[in-house]
Amino acid sequence: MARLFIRLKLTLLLNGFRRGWQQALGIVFATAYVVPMAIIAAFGTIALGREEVMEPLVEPLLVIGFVLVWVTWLVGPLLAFGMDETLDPSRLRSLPLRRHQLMTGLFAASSVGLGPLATLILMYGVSVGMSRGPASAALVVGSAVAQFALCVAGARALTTTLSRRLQSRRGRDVVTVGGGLFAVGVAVLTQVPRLFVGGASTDTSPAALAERLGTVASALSALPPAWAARAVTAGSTGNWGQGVLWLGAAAIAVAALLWWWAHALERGLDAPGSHAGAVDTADLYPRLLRWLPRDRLGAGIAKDIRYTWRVPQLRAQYLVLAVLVVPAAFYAAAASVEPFVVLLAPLAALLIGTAGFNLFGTDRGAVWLLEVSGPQPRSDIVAKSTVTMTLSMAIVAALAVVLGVLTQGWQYVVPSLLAGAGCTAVVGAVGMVVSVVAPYPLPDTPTNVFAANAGLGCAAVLLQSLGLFVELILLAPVAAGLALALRNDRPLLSVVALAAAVYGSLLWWLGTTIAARRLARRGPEFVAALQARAR
Amino acid sequence: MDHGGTTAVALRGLRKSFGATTAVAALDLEVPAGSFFGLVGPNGAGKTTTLRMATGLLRPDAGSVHVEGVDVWADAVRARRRIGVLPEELDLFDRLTGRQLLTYTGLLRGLPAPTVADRSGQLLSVLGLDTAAGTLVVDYSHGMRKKVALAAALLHGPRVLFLDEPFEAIDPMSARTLRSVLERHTRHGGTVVFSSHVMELVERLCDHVAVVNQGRLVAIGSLDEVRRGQSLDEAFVRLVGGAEHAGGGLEWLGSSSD
Repeated sequence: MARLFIRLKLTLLLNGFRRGWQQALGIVFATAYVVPMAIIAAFGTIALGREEVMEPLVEPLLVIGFVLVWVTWLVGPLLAFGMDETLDPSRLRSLPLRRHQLMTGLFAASSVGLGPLATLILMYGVSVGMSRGPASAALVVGSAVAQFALCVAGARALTTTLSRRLQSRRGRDVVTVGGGLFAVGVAVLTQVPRLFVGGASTDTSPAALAERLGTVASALSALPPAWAARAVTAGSTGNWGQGVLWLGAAAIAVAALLWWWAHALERGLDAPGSHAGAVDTADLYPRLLRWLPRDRLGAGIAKDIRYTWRVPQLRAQYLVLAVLVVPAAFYAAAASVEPFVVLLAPLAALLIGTAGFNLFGTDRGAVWLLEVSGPQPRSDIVAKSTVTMTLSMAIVAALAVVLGVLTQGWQYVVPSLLAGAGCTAVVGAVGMVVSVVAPYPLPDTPTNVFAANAGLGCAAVLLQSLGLFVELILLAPVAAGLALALRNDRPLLSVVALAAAVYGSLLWWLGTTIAARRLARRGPEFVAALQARAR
Repeated sequence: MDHGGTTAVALRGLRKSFGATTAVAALDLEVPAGSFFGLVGPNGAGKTTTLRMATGLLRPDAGSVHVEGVDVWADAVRARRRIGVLPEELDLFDRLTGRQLLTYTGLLRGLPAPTVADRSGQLLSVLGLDTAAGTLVVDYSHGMRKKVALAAALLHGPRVLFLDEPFEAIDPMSARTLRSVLERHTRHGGTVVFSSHVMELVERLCDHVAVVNQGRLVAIGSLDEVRRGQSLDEAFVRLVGGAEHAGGGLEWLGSSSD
């Protein structure tokens, strides 16, 4: 059974290359990024085990590292665009498989892929770096295997438990939004100690670092991966008794996760998915936007405003960006920065700009309706860009005002808003062009959140990186102008900021024209790119 | 060439290949105005590809498409005012409610807002969707999605309706509603072109039929001309050449004992 599932998984991975150049490119680049990173981490772990001076750091780093890897395994499948069919138990419902056969097969399939390969490389590094003789090696390798098993069993148990919930539209929406906020929450929380504790200390000796990391490690010690990590360190230092105890605890945790998974599998296979029946009686135009024209442009704006809240990926994206304003403001307050930092608010437009690189992605195949209703590309593009830019500008403005309040830099708020409008327009222009040159559908499978989409995420990131690079080049004159005015002639600042707004508007007009012409010429191809099944 | 009088849709030398696979090979087809026209063929015959090219959603490698005399590919805006489309995939703006989707579609089509509101209400009512008008389309059943997509296709009062497998996977009640709406459309002078491989349905609804196989037209004409005294099902097998399998092998079917 294990061999069969592994073959199925490998076939699906290879088929990813045949599903389009974006996915093939994505797989290649994901591999080229993840595998070397894992190898570097493995070498780092080997070096950590060999350097005596680093000894105090070994245990806290291993604990934190093991927990991070485990959390990535748990959260990854819920946040990623999708996993693959081999891991979806509901697809196997009709097959006459016993529970243990199903678990063996799914466990084996889970152990194959880029993520598992990276984890195995890392665990190899741990085994080589921490082993000190045959007995030590047995304990260390056993603990590394236990860590891998914790990752696989934990990920399977969690996704299987949530799979029924995820089969309903509301469940997926909640997980998408919650997952985005969780990810940013973790990112913010990891920065807080650095800002308020780490920032105050200048002692970077291994002992001092070990003390600080030790605090984090002890906070994580209740989690099973921490037990496996402690078993590794005990095996490495010759504390056999402790090592066996920690390894035993980790093994019990693996067994408990397997039991949870088996239980969830049984319940999940027996029960049908539930579907929500949301009711909304509102007009297409939100109440505050009733003044918008009743034409194609107005309808497009109204529809995209509704989509911003109703499409979970967009909701998560904007909530996350809005939430990011808070740590930025805290940072400004904690670091007692100069008032001119208010002028950095327009930089938020760059961050938000990533949301505008695939303006039609959430419409997916539905864009055929735009095409058959008599194409008016300029209206459609302007509607989308207007909504994205309005949201972007709102966040830039909020950031400028918050920074103005915290730094007493009120005189910089208006120039910051003007420059922010210019930056938002430049970012909007690049976004429009990228959106029509390389559109791709954001995945949304009605019944299966595990649907294959291997590689697409990485290709999208590459494309967005290229767009970001172009944006940086186009924004360089704005940054240079502001910096010069700030340094030499502060009264000129408002003039430079106004010029930035005009410059941005011109580029936005240019971007609209290029994108609209391209869309008018290649409408059917554009539709096909967004219709995953169109042939 | 004048297509305006009696021909609603004219396809001339339409051709499309995907890599080495030829989906549609030099297809010539004329659909009489006011007809209920069935485009039938086995799976993979090129029906969907033909309809996508006819509606401007897929660029042909060669050939032309005229709808009521207007070239679909040369004068897209004018041609698309005349047509309504129900695609097979049912990709819709499904994070809108049913009513919002129709409002959006109507405004995309350039209809005045009061007209959109009035027609949307009527269509939702006739198609039995009035109680679900405030539900997000993503939460609709397959049949409801098909009905709301048909409403979106009809909203601007198109002269020609292109429907790809409209009766696929929907319950008999929804099928009956769809049929009645389409019959009303042809009674008012509209033309319906729909693809299907359910011969009984085509036989019951259509007055004209075209049979395609492997991207080529193998028969076209009135229902009686194509049937030649047989049932459409028998005529289809004769034309497409799908002889019944004698059943050699497969003796193991139904032999599982555990």
